[in-house]
Amino acid sequence: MLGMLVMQPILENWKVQVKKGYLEYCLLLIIQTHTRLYGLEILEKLQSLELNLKEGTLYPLLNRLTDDGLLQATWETENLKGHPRKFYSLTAKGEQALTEMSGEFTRMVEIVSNLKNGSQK
Amino acid sequence: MNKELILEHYLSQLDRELQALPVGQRAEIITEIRSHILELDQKDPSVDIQKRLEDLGTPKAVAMRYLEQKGVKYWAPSTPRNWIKWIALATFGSVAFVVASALIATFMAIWYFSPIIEVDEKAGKVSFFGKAIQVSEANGNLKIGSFTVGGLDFDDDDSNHMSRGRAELKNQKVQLIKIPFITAKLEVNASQDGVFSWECKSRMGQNPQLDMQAGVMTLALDKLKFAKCELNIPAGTKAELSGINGSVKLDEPQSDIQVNVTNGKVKISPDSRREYDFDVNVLNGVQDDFASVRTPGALKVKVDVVNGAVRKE
Repeated sequence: MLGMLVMQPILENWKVQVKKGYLEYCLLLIIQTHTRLYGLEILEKLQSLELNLKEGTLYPLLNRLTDDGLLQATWETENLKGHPRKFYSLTAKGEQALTEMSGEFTRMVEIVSNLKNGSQK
Repeated sequence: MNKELILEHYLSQLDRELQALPVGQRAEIITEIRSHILELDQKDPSVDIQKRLEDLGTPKAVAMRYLEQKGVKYWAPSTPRNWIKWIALATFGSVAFVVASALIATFMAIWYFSPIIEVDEKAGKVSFFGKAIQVSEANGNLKIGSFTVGGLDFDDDDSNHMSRGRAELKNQKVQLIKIPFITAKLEVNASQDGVFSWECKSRMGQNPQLDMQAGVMTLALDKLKFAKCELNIPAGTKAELSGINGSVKLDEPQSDIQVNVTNGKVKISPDSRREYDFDVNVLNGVQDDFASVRTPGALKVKVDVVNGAVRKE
């Protein structure tokens, strides 16, 4: 019991670090899958995947990915709703980055899988 | 406050927290956050907008995340409203400091100089501000600290110059004794042996000169400073005492006497066996009532005081 209490903060910190690592990857994957999405839609998709991300974190991240040129944003106003929505989609640079990320993630999973199976080279 | 106002207030705060970013970027962020909140509200209007904004995070926290993602250093908001607030605070602080200082100084002065007014009827003195200022009815002077304006200060230890003298008037035709003085405390008695005598204690000066001219004998006490004299005037010899500051005490006058004092006090102890014709005038001050008779044998006592008192003893 005491051991669990000691481990809890360490695990939480590790989870945050791991989540940071694949969050951008997941985000780009979701946008690629749906071609174009606006902020609230992305948030809902993430939540449905139990990637509970606060909007106060999501929007700054989208903003930075746009600055980095991985995403492109377009403002659109739906006639019925009236609210302007900022739709995000992948740029060519984003597509290329996502491919590299997928490769890296696959390699990482393989490493972990190999480690777990005891087939370490 | 309605939803829109709450939202706009939040967004204006967020805009200020994002001031490290160019205006265009800030506007885009604000528009996106506004759109997000309105979208949520449209989907479920039952949720309190304050709750939605709390879920989003404080304006500063949200701004910090944007700036962190962009690698831009946070600037603390500095708006005109802040400047006005600081100027107002500085002004208020300065005024409060001056008022507090004045109050403290006043209380300290009251404490230091208390009591403010103290009346000593017996000594005939009125003191102000813990005796920092003293007005002496007896001496006819005003003391401010160690500085004396007018009158006498007979409590001074420097009053150690003695002078005395006498003059036989039996063989001289003296019609009048004149005694001028500047600052003096005179006690006038009547002598029955025909001798005019005086004994003075003064702070400094020379022995008073006695002069005789055309039946008028003059004792120049005006050469003495802060003189305290006892005078004996032969009964039946007229006397005239004129001075600026001080006090004159007439003890049972036995001749016609005239006293003129600008500032001071005159005390008269009439001889109950004699009749007097009093003529007492005080311009500024107080005077007692004197029983006066207009008979040929009555002694004439004329007293004129500009500022002060004429008292009966």
